[in-house]
Amino acid sequence: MAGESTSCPPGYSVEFRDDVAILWMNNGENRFNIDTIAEINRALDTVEGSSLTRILITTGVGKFYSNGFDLNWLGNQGPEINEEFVGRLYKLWIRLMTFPVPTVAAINGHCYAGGGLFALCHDHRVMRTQRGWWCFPEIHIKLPFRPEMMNLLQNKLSSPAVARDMLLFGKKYVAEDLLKIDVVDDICEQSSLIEVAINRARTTLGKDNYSRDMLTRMKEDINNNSIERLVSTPYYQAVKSKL
Amino acid sequence: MSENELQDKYRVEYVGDVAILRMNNGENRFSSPTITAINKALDEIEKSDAKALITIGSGRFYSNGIDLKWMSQQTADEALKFALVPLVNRVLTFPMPTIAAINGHCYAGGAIFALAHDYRVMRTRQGWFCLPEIHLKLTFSSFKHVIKCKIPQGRVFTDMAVFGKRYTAEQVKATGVVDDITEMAGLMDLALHMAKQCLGKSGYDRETLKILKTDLYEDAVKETSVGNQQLFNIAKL
Repeated sequence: MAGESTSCPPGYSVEFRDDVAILWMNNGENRFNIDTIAEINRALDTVEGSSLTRILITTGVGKFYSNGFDLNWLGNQGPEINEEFVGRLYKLWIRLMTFPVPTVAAINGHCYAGGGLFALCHDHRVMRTQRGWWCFPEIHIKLPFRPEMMNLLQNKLSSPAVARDMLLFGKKYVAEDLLKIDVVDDICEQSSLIEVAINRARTTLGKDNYSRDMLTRMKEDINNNSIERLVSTPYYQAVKSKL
Repeated sequence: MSENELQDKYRVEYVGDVAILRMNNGENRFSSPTITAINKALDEIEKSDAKALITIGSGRFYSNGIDLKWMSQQTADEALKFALVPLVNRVLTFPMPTIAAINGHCYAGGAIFALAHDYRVMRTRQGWFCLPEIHLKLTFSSFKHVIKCKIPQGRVFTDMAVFGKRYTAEQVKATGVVDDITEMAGLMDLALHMAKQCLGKSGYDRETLKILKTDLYEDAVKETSVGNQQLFNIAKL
């Protein structure tokens, strides 16, 4: 049954349904740290390794899609680890932005800060109604974005007024709001979320398949401005050749 | 007119924690003396506890842009010191929410000044919003990225920036460039309401907001930074 959380193992797992891969994030607030990024990458390896897969859905379990960076963990690490985290994060975003199949973030709940960034790196977003906020609270917690993050975000948003409200003033949005400003493509009840996500991806796929190689090249090209910004940072360069 | 008399035409008042800068100088055109007066007012506001800034004109004009007559009387040296570009940079990155309450005509440099604010509200039934540069045979030079970062790409940008279309309040609201419109009598209340809504319960940390604006409007900020300005071609003005 679509969206059933009880059958989902804890942590990050991949479920295959015919040509659809679902990356389940069942890790509480699904925050990003070096370990969870590694787990997501392993999951993505599994998806890429499955030649039958033509669609990737990511979704959370319970109240959270993702609440962003693991700030508690980051606060306890030294600067070297902090910098490695940022580099690995940028690598993940680039990987997701250029993923060789259509990607849909099925937003099941709260989607804050780095979680929103993660969702915006997908081709599409769909969101459940009635629960869950979308927000970039950086202004409220006095933690500005890095310039390359701001650059990436801006390129994904549809208008200056949206960028102002969302990125400068940390406005909170529900699913209906996001639909109006084209940040999500579809909204629905939680029970239909996975189905709606798959349908969105199928609409995109259409009748033709896309060569994985071609899709990656196209995504790299379209996003080349943001990607170059991320790649040129010392953080990315430091982890470039690390697994 | 003495400096004090001129400063008096750019008065600051406070409504709660919102600072209001009233431009009461005819067409509110930009010259070196008027820009000095505006900067002095902004200095005072930054020193205060104000949490938001509203700018408004008076009578029929918000601002009609650069004082071309004054400009034509300046020496080349004087013209080089004309600081509209740094003023726009300052408003663009002002460390609190800013609202332009467009009470009347808003043309050229005046429209760019309004665009540098976070929000724009406009009165109905009088006044045009317009970037007429093409009609004046001017390009945007140092303001190219300012308008790019505030005007939606596509049809709106083409009409508004490239082809210098003029807009009524209703028309410019429909483009999204102005956030809300109302009758003149309600304009300040609307601006105050927007300020209040934006500020929420506690307002914003000035330093953080300035960093965010500087990064969000990165290209425009770089383009309008001191030392990086393209010079106006005075002969063309």
